[in-house]
Amino acid sequence: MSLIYGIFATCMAVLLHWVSQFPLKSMGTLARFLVVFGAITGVLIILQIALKLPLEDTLSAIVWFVFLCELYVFLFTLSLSSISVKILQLLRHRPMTFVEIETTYRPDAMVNKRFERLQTAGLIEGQNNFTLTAKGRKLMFLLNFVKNILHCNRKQAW
Amino acid sequence: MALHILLLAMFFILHTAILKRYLASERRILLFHIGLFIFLPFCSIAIKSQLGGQIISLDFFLIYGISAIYSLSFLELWSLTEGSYSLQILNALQAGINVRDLGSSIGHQKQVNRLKGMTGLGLIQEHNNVFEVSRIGWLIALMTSFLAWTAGAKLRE
Repeated sequence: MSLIYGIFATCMAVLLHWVSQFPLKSMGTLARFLVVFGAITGVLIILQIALKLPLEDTLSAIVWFVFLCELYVFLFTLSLSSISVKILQLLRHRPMTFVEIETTYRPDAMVNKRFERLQTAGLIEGQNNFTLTAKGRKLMFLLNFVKNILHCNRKQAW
Repeated sequence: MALHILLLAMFFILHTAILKRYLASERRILLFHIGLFIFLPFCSIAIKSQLGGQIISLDFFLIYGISAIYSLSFLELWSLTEGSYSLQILNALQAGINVRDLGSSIGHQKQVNRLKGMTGLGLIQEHNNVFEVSRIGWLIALMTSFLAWTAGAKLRE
């Protein structure tokens, strides 16, 4: 039953995420989902208290809800920013040669878009000669720390 | 549940100490975590029953849920720190390389690599230098369009 509750709560979260784009236009996609996620988790906890449901049942439902939401966030961020997904989207409409792909999805535009996003996130600054901001340096320190834990040390080739 | 979290923590320490040397490719780490997700909950339940603990069906759901969260979070962090495009740019900037000068060639290289990768995975096919999506690739493209729609965003360039 807990798995079914988890799946149902996730479906509600996805539906509310879609609906939330209308009243919460100014918020980012991920921020909107976090609001929805928090609200539904709150409702699950309130239901547990109000209906005096078994704690283990609610805990199990919340664990599955968290997992499915994490999977959803991973998939929709992938859908929005992955190069492979963008190429698949192009080829879905019609077959293309490599030159056509490059003309439609220009490599320099692709790189510029990444720079724009990093700049909007406040991780880099500058006009042509970019440098890391303090926030960017902190993030790099954290990610390199995680990288050292999870990966064998390998040099980045450029 | 506590026993299962302890087992997952042990596997994490084992990964950082030894396993990361052998699980360096995407395919290996993915297969390892699929195996971990399938078998570790059974080990937890078996150990619990050996220790005389009472097993209820809810334990399975809870333990599988925790395993799923662990494996997904691990794989996300692993792939983010392994090959994230943005992270590569930030790393290069930190090293003093002006990546924007290399922008076009990096983008070109990325597209070539992704096309090779997707061909290898069977998502696209190449005939006479023309690329087209396979049936599974078409389904994934459709699914990603749906996800972008639910997120309320058009696919970014």
